[in-house]
Formats: sequence, C-alpha cells, structure tokens
Amino acid sequence: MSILLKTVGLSKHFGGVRALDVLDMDVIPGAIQSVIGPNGAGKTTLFNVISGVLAASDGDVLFKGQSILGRSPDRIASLGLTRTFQNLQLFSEMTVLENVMVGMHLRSTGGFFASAMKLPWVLREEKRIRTRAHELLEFVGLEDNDNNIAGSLPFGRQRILELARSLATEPTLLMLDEPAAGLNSRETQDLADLIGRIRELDITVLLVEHDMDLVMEISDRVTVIDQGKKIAEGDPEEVRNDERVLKAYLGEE
Amino acid sequence: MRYLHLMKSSYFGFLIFGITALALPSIITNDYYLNVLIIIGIHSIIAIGLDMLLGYAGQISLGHAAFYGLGAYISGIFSAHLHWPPLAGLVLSLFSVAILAFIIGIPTLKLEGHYLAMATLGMGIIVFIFFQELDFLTGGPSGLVGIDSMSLLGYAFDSDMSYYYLVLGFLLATLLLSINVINSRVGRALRAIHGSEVAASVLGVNISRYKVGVFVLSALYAATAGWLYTHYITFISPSSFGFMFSVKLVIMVVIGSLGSLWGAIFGAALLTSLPEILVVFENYETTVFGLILMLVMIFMPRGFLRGLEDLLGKLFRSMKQDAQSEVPGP
Repeated sequence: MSILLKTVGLSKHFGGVRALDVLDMDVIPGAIQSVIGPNGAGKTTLFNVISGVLAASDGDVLFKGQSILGRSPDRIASLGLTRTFQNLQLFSEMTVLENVMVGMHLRSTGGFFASAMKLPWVLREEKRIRTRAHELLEFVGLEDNDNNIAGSLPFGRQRILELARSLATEPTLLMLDEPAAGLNSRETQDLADLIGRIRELDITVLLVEHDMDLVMEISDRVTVIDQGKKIAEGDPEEVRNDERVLKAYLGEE
Repeated sequence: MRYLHLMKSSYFGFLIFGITALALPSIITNDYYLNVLIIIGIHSIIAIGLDMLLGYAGQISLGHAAFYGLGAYISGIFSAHLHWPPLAGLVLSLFSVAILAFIIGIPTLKLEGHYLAMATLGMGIIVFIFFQELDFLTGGPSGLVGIDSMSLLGYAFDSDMSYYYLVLGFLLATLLLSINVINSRVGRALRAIHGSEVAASVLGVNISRYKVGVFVLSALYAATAGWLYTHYITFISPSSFGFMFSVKLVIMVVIGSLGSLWGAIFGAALLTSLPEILVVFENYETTVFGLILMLVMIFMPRGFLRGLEDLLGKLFRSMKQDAQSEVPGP
C-alpha cells in the first residue's frame, strides 16, 4: 500500500508547549481518515503545519514522496493538498460563485497583463472557470445561492461553501478542519453524504472532527493523538476499544 | 432582465462616464473650470490605482505621492535639461518606477497594517528628500523650471481643451484596464487576499506576487499621472509630492468608497474641487474642509458612493412599501 502523506517525527513547540511531539502518521490514498483527540491535543496545529500555514520545529512531512516542509501554502496547494478551516475563512465580501472561482486559481493562468487586455484566451478561460464553479456549486447543493454574498449565507451553508471552494483546486488530499462544528444533526448527515461523494471523486479526505458519531460513520481509518503524540491508529472499531484512547478521553480509572 | 444585467455591469457605467466626460467641455467653457477638471482627471488616475491596492487588495500605502513625483520629476528632468520628448520621458518614468516599486514592494509588502503604513510613509519621505536635495537635477525646494509642454508624435497639446482630452484619454484607458483586471482571475485573487490571506494561500494564490503586482501597477498609474501633470504645469516643486499629498490620496479613495473605482474618481473630484469652492470661507477654508470630511465619514462610514447606494436602497424599499400599502387588502 502506497502512502499519500507521511509525517516523520513531526514536532511543533510553542515556547515550552509541545503541541506536536515527534508525531508519525500516514495517510493512505483513497481513504477517509480522521484525526481525533481531546481538546488541545494538537490536531489543528497538525493541519497548520502540514498545509504550510505554520512552520514545524522539527521532523518532516512527505506528500507524494517529496518533502513539503518549509514550502509556502500556495506551493503545497499546487501539489494537490488543500484544506478548510475550523473558524471559517470565507471571502465574505465576495459572492458564493466568486469564492469558488478563487478556488480555480491553480487551474487557470491569466495574469495582470492578459487580464487587463482581455486577451481572447483569457475570456475563454474565464468562461471555463465560471462553468466549472457552477458545476461545483451544484455538486454541493449551493446552486441557488451563486449570487449571494458569501458572508450573508447561513452558517451551515458557509461551511459547505468552503468545502466547494477547496474542491475547486482539484486536490489529491483534502483536509477538513472540524467540518461539522456548528452544524445541526441534519446538516451533519448531509455533510457525511457529501464527504462520501467526495471520496468517489478519488480525493483522499483527512479530517479533524469532534463529532464522534460522524467520525465513526464515515472514517475508514482513525488516528488518535493526545498531547502531540499519536496514541492509536486503526479502523473505527479498533480505536473505539483501545485502552489508551479511553484513558485519554475519560482520564485515569 | 438582460438589460438590468447590462446596467449593473461596470462597462455600462464606463460608457455613461465616457460620454459624459467627452461632452463636458461643451458645457464648461471657462478655462479655470477646465483647468480644475484636468487636475481632477490626473488625480483620478492615481486614485484608481491606489483603490486597487487599498480597496481591493487591502494594502495601504502612505507613499504614493512619491511615485507620482517620480513620474513627474524623471520626465521633467530629462525634458528641462536634455529636451527629451515627453513620450521618451514617459517610457523612462514608467520603466524606472516599475523597477523601484518592485524593489520596494518585495520587502515592504511582507508587513501588515500599521507597519506597512509606516514603511511606505518612510519611502515617501526619502523620495521627497531626494527631490529637495538633488538641486543640480531637480532645482531643489524652489522647483524645476523649463519643462517642455506636452507634444506627442508632433501634435502639441497647447490648449486646455486639448489637454483635457489627453488626460481623459489616459483616464479612460486606466479605468478600462482596471475594470478588466478587477473582473478577472487577478482581481478575484486580490480581493481574496483582502478577505483572508491564509485562505487565499491554501487555495494556491501566491500572496506576495499579487501584492507586489498590484503595488507596481498602482505605482505605474501614479507615475503616468505625474507625467501628465509635469508637462501640463511645466513647473514642479517638491511640495506637490510630499507626505500630505499621499494622505490626501488615501482620503480620496476612502471617502469615495473603498473597492469602488467610481468612488475613487468621485473622491478625487471632491478633494480636488472642494478647496477651490471653499475659497469663499477665506480663513476658515481648512476648517470647513475638515468638517465636511468628518461629516461624510460619520454619516457615510462606507464612503460616499456606498453611502449613496444605501440611501437609495432605503428610499426604494420604502417607496415599494408605500405602494404596497396603498393596494387595498383582499
């Protein structure tokens, strides 16, 4: 089995706090893999380091076999790795459609000069971007909101929009940081369906999530971290019964 | 529906603006007013560029007067000392300003907020000092005289009327290019950077490239405006390109409405013409000027254009409600 993403001895220290402490983790292509752990376990830090938003203190991150540590987020994105954010990072003043169109940035090339001159190929490209963005909105079920201002959408739809926007980059690996946070149970179920359909597009999904029902329902593989260390890994059933996991969540005894 | 879409597009606005501006001199025949309009046009070109930087990409510059001044001085110096034709001066100005803005932009635009403001402010002051101290080139504080008036490809723009159309041509070109950029992949990237840098970067937008790109573009607009100014007035002194003018440019963009090119033009028109109108207040001119700016920002915090939009929207809605309430119930 080949490995899509691999962290090797990954560490991140904030002053004296070891948010990530020599973490080794593998992500297998084609799977839905979840990272769980108690609050402050280092899950979001892990995402920030992998996506290039934060620099690591030590260790390495390999994506498709090459080290991506120290690269800027946009270069990592161009290799096929993108993410969403726990606290939404929409372009809230732009329309829903425009948000997704920004996601097509890597799939288009028009620069300052060509855009200013409206060269014919730029117009064709613009049309292609627009069509594709509409398709993606339809895929996630936001096709009726295309002209709304992103910030005016209800919270649940904003989360879905962020997902559609990252899908537009056509990633190999999509990292979702607590996609169900703030969603009601019905929206969470829709999200679970959507993540399933994303996997069918041959996109590997790595998610951090607190909603255990969701994690257990959709994950093929679960990695548990606590205090920056991996304490368990396996299919949902194995992890659920792991002693160390129970201890981490419920405390000693 | 189709017409509504057309009317909302920026190009419709461009058409209306272009026609109005072309027709304006047939109404305004007074040379003094024409002169004010020319200066408004020149300022509008800078404001449009600054709005792309500040309103769209969200990056402040308190040093744009320096690029305006460089455009003016570079062409002015070569014209006054060596009698280079203005067109050659323009090419040289744009070339030098592009390189300078690029070199300054790379380290500066890594900074954010107040720090970026301070850095660009510093740049503006340094350039200003050069204008003042290199007197063998610039004429020092007393100014540079002997600049040739504008002539392009053998045509001399020696009347105010012809100069008005020259400036208008440059303004319309700038405006059209800017509208195109804003409604493109590049424009979306710039607005995305403004909205959330971290989100833009994980979607593959090279943040520093776009920031530097729009910085250089706005500097080029300012340099073009400086070139138009220098060959119009044919005399320049450092005081026109100091810190206060940089601040005035930012005020133009903010008061017009950030992220609206029409707002930038409106702001340029307001800030350029208001002092001329306020002359009637004599000693209290500056006070009244400040008061007006304060009132606009208090009652229209999103700038004049958006403020007007909000106002019209409210009016429209209340009219609709009135119309509905007049209809007898079922």
